[in-house]
Amino acid sequence: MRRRMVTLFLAPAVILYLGFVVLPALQAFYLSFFQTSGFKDQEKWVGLGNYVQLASDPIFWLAVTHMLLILLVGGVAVFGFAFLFTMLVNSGLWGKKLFRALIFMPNIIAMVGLSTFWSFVFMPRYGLLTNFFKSIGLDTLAGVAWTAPEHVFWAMLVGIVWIFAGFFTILVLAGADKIPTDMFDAARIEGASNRQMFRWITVPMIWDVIVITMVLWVIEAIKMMEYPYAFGGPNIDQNLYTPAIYLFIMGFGQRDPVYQLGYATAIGVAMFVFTIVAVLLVGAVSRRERVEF
Amino acid sequence: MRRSAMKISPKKLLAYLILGAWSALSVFLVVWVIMASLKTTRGLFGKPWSLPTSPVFENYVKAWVSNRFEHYFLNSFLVVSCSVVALLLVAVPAAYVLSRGQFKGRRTLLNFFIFGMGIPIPLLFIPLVVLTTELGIVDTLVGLSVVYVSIALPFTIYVLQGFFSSLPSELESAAIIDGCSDWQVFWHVMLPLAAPGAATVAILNFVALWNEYQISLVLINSPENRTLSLGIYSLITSMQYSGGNWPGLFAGVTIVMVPTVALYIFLSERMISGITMGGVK
Amino acid sequence: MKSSASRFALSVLTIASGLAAFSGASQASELTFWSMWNEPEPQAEALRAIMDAYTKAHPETTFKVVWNGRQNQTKLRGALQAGTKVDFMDQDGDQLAGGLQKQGQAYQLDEALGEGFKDTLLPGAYDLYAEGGKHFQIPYVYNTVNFWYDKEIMKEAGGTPPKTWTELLSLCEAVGKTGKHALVVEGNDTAYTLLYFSNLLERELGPNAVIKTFEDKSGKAWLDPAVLDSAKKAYSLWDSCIAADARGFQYPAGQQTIALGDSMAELVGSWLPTELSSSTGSDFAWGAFNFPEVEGGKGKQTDLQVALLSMMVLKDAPHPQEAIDFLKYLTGAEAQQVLVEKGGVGVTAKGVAWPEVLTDAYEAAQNATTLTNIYGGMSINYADFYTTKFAPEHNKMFLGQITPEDFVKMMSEETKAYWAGK
Repeated sequence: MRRRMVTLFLAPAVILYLGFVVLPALQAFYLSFFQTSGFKDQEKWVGLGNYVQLASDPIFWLAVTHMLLILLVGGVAVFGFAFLFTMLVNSGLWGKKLFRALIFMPNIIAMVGLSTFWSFVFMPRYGLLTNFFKSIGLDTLAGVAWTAPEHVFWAMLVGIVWIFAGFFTILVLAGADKIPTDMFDAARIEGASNRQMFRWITVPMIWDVIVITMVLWVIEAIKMMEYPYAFGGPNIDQNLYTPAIYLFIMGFGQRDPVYQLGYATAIGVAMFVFTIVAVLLVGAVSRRERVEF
Repeated sequence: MRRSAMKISPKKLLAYLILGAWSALSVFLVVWVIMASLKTTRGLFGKPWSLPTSPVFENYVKAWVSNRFEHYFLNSFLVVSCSVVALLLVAVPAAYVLSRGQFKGRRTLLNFFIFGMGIPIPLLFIPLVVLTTELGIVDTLVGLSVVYVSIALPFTIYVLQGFFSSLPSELESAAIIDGCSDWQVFWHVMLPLAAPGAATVAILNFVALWNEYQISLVLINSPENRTLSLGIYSLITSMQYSGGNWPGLFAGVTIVMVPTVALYIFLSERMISGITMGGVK
Repeated sequence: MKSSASRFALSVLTIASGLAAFSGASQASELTFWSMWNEPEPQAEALRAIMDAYTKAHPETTFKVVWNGRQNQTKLRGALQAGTKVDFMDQDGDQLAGGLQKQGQAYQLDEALGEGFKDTLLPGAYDLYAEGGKHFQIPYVYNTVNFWYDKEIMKEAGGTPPKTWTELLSLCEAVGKTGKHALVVEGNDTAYTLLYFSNLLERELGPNAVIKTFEDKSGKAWLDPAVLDSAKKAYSLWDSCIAADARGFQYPAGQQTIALGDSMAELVGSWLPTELSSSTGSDFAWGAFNFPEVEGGKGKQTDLQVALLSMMVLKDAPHPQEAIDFLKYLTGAEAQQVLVEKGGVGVTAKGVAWPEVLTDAYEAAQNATTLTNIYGGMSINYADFYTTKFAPEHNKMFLGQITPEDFVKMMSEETKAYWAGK
């Protein structure tokens, strides 16, 4: 292929990518060594000062805790559901395509829209959940304030699991579809149950897919922002903070002006480091034999 | 024989129940939001589970007109269509070259793009604001489109090059033997073959950008440049000060939700196969 | 005419003055105004009417308005950095004072407005957000902090507006007996919940007590028993006054309970009746009473926390003089009357009566002995400490996640650390 064609075809993509993704990322690293509120005459070099402050910032670590909870607890739930649904859908049911489409549907609706629904579900006294409990007589449960500080994170997590379980079910299902059916037929003749077939045929054969989906989930969990931010609304509680939300509040603020841009970018850099470490970990932990067929 | 037949039934029933319940939740959300949007605030708070007694259609009028959703709709449509078209124009050639080209550093360059998928977007918030400000395109739909295209490149190239790699090379070789130039090979042979992949990637990006929220939150300040997601967010803030008008908020959500759901009913297979194409080779 | 020369001179003069008048009249300026109101709100409607009236009287001045909603200042800041030119904007005065004003983005008004301007507004209003004697804001909406209550529920409980803290607690019990909740709070709004603690401290130690406590650089002022007492009193409201599930209310769910007749009152700004007007309907019997006195405290019941909404001209405004002229009109009797009637808000101009539903608040404003800043005033000079430490930690205490003792200890340490880092 001629050199001219290669360069011509690659140039726009490379320019845009370098200009609007790579370069800003590098600028972010650079900016994180300053303390600035955005107006040029107020920049101050602080070297690693932002990172030192970050290391002892309880709000940052609270946000990181939330991120880890989303990653691990949320991840277990998401993948648990994904495997469950894959197993169920593939057990010879009618309406596979319909179920698949409906399970995936939350992913095509704007997260900010979904969050309004879920906020109303969990609203104390007037919300759907409370009303439901009241109507079936479970008054103690009806009295729980699901959006109170100690519960609001979990209320938020329910929505996240619901959305992403759908997304990852599709991925796992697609991987499972690639397995030739004669494997399953042979196993069924031998008397294997659905669960056994899943554990010993499906999972090993789609291990590649599982690894990729885990990486995707890790990346997503670390940069999780849209859903919790919309769920928390314009007065977002610290109990819903993720590192991305904390970055936004520190850099842009909601109604109260904070404008610590250097500090905010330091948070972003920390997120990037988390992502790299996490992806490497997933890669290392998933060193398994790949089954070829 | 009868024993195994009886053994299958309850398990299948359970499977239907579980899947059915989960799927029903998706349907319930759509239906409930539409119903809620037709109530009054008192009605919604009083009986959130019941059907609206006398539908309040002016919630929609309010959302569309005084809350400017017609405007936001147009903005979203412009930005997303242009972004997707531009994205295809940029990504398809690049993916083609990256998957089927033979030049030094091809693998590295490809990995360089794919690596971009791991960059957390919040890291880029502030530099992008600074950059688009310096270029004079901050708080504009143009600026937003440029950023959208750039950020979508890693994933799109990843999917497309996977697709291109799976295309048979015999046609290519045949065309070259016939004396076609590289350009003709691309235009007449590979591009038509790539159409389904490109179409799917286009649909995926369309949906993702239609619902995109965090980048527009950061880059767009003026109400006249708001996209639909920002419109809903501004509706959340404004409804708080107008007596807690949740039904009005849900009317706005419905306006955003219904077109995508309607489209989804026709294109769900496409979308789903597109996602799996990228993750599953 | 005497001679052709004088005729000539006269015609030249006529033409010259005609030209001068013509060019003067065509000094058209379009003022860019970024507003904290959302387009459908009544206050926005009122402002639109006022701007239309002004343009009718001064055709050379037109307006371009951006209705941003409450995050106006945040959005404007971003736009200013991008080089957008804005003439004037509005926001809560305390947020402006701690935000754009502090960052030197405001146009100083003293020269244009002069000494006498202060007396056109209610006492204390003009000086409230002044910095070192210099004025950067023109307050145009007046909000007072009171207990806003449903008169029906209070009547049913057989109660009257309390004058002391003890009376308030007994009122809560009386209301509780009728099956309603006396008070409601927005659990996630750290500013609103701060109203209790800040008012209690100001009633105990006198006006501006919160700021004075914070400004003790050793941090020891927080360990004053009066501070701990105020924190404990605030927390004790959950015993008989506030329903337990209110801790989960995300604004504005809490205030809805008043409109729906579940709760009697909320300690909040006088904007509440307007915010709830579409839920309550127009025949809701609103009443307001000031924060009661604390037995043995220095503060009086007539000391009032206020929040004024101000207009501010930007330092780099393209048309500062025209903007100021408009703002003078805005704080004049005619325009303020429109704000009252269409916007349903209390206003700052002297002699303009407030909407009927805000009568109690108007009285409170006129009879106020001292004006202090809402939420204790920390948001003005110590905005970052307020946002990142004071407000969130107090809310944790108020919602019972940390004890009042831990709260004051933490504030003492954080204050010391804050001043040490300056």
